[in-house]
Amino acid sequence: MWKCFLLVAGGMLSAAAIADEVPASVGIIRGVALDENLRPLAAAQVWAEPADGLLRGMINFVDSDADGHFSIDHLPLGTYNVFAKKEDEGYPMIDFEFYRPGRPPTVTLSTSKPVASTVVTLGPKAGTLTGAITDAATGAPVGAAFRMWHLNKEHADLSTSVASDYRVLIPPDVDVVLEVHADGYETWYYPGYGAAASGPLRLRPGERMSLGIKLQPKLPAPPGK
Amino acid sequence: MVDGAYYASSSETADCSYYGEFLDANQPPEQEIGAPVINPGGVTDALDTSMGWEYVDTSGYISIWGLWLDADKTDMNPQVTVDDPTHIQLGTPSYVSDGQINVPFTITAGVATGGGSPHNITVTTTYGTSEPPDELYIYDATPAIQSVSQTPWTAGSTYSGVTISGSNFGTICPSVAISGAGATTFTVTTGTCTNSSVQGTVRVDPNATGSSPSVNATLTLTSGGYGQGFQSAPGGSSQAPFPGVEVLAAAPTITRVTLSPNVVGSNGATMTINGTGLSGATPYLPSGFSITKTSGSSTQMTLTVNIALSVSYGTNCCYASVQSAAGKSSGSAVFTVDGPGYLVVTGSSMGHCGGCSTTVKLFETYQIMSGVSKTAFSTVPVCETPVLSNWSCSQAQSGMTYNRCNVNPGTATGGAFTDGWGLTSDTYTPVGCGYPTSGGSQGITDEWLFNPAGATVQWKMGNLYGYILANSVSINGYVDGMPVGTLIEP
Repeated sequence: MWKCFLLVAGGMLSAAAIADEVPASVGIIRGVALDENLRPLAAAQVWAEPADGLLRGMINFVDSDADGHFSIDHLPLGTYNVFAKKEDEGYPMIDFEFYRPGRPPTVTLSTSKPVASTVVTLGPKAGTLTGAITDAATGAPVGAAFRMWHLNKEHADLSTSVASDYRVLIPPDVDVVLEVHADGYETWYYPGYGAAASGPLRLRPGERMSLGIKLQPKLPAPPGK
Repeated sequence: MVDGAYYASSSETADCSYYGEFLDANQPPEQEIGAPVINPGGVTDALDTSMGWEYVDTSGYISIWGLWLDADKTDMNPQVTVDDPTHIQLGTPSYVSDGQINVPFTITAGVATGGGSPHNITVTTTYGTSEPPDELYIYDATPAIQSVSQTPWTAGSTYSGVTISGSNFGTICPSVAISGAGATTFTVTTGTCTNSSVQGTVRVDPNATGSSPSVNATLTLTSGGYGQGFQSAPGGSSQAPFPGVEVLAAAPTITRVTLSPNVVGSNGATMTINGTGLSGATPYLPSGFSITKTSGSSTQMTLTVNIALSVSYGTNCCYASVQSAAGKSSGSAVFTVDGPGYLVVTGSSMGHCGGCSTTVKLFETYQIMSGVSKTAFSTVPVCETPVLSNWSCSQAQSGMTYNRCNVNPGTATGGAFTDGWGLTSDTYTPVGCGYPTSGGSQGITDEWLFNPAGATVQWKMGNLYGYILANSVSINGYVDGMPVGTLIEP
């Protein structure tokens, strides 16, 4: 971690210098995004959310530069959690308990310190589950929702809507329960309808798994029922 | 010998004829009366004695000048004859004297005309017949135009049944030429020709007036004569000019306007205006369009335009017009401009926040879609108008920041953006508190709008409603986030 702060300090102006550039009521969070090996992570999407507050509105993603540096401007003074993601390389949104358990670190912007620095580390990489969700009877593509949670911590969960050709990130080295919902279909549990019993999915960091999911249409209710 | 009195001045003798009394013994006897004599060139028009001819298809009087035309008053009914009584009908002389006879005539078409076809005129009295006969020439009169119907004309227009009225057009259809109005033409309609009128179709050159509001054209009718080619009298002409036909500049017209790409925010888009009278015309486009290049012809104008994000848009939203160099304006032609129209859900993630055991949050990702083409839109500024109600937690409400319209709109990069709904920790109690829907009042309503800089209005793209509780979030009726593909419309 010490190494990280050195990287940040080396790439930033001093807070005092920047304070003169911004209105009193807003601040700036600057920092660096690093991967699991503490190397600068370029093109990561970084954003800030009010800590202990209301999340409402457009998420203002900023991209880290080639050195991993980012700057989130025009933030009202307050306390924030800073998150990042780079999903195409296997780094999911770390603001969910599902991907990163535990309270995230906070950054505070105040009138005396409207510019703050932080480091956001991503990784290890998630596992990647890809495939197609189809109607088991017709083969037609079906949009659906994954509901996933840690086997031993149900509130570490995530529901995500996907198109038929899906790609979801699975936290690594964790037993994950996975089910798929779609209107008009029976709920699908990993590893599938035909399995003797449902079980958790566990992927290693960066592991990729292809999984075709065929959803069974719900049968119409019998007459009189 | 000519008519008159003769006096003997010597002992010479003369043969004289006499009728009447000797007036004076000292007066010599008068001449003897003989056959009538017509002076050379002695047949003229009665009203214009310098005119030794008449015209086809006319009536009037000729005068015959000579001697003994009334046989010295002994024959007051001299007979005047012509070699073509069929086409030259002579009546009873209306005035007779020894030296002049006036005879009414009617000359009809078919008579031999021209300088090579004189007609013999003879006078016969009781004393004989004039010999040699004198000659009467018949020519074709110079045509004249009195009026032209359906004027003024407008450039680019076609007028059928235009009537040219006048005289001496001949019995053969004349030709009609128009000058001073570009390539304007007059086509004679077969079967409409008379000696006094002709009908035809006028096709006015679209560029007849050039850059002037109007011009005066000259219409020239050329007679085809009466069947023997036009036989012009001395000093006459086969042509009848009629100046002063007003030709007005045509208002340009627009038949079609196309725009590609037709999306707000496009630079270098191509607009094509099809119509008439477009050469040199000035195009007029809605506010927010800037023209960087203009080219084309009289029937097609091609513009390179930049379309500001703030341009009003929609199906058949917009109008183009042109004004000609002569100041004539076209009607307006409608065209379509596309812009952000609605949202479609492209992703949704909901789960417990980091470090939370009860509190959840939701991220919805939307793609902005074009209202007309239904395709994904590009980067645009957006804003929202959230209203939160019914706060039920024990703690004070948290502040809310959002992208206010015309204040701090956000940028939907690539037309996509992610909308967050939720609380961010388990701090809020009791469990399940927040902004519930209560008593028919939504906990939250929110409208997303397209918010281009400089626009006076924002365009609605999507309407959201639901609730945000510490342990649950509902958006448009979905409690686990909206399915991919869900349409969010204004």
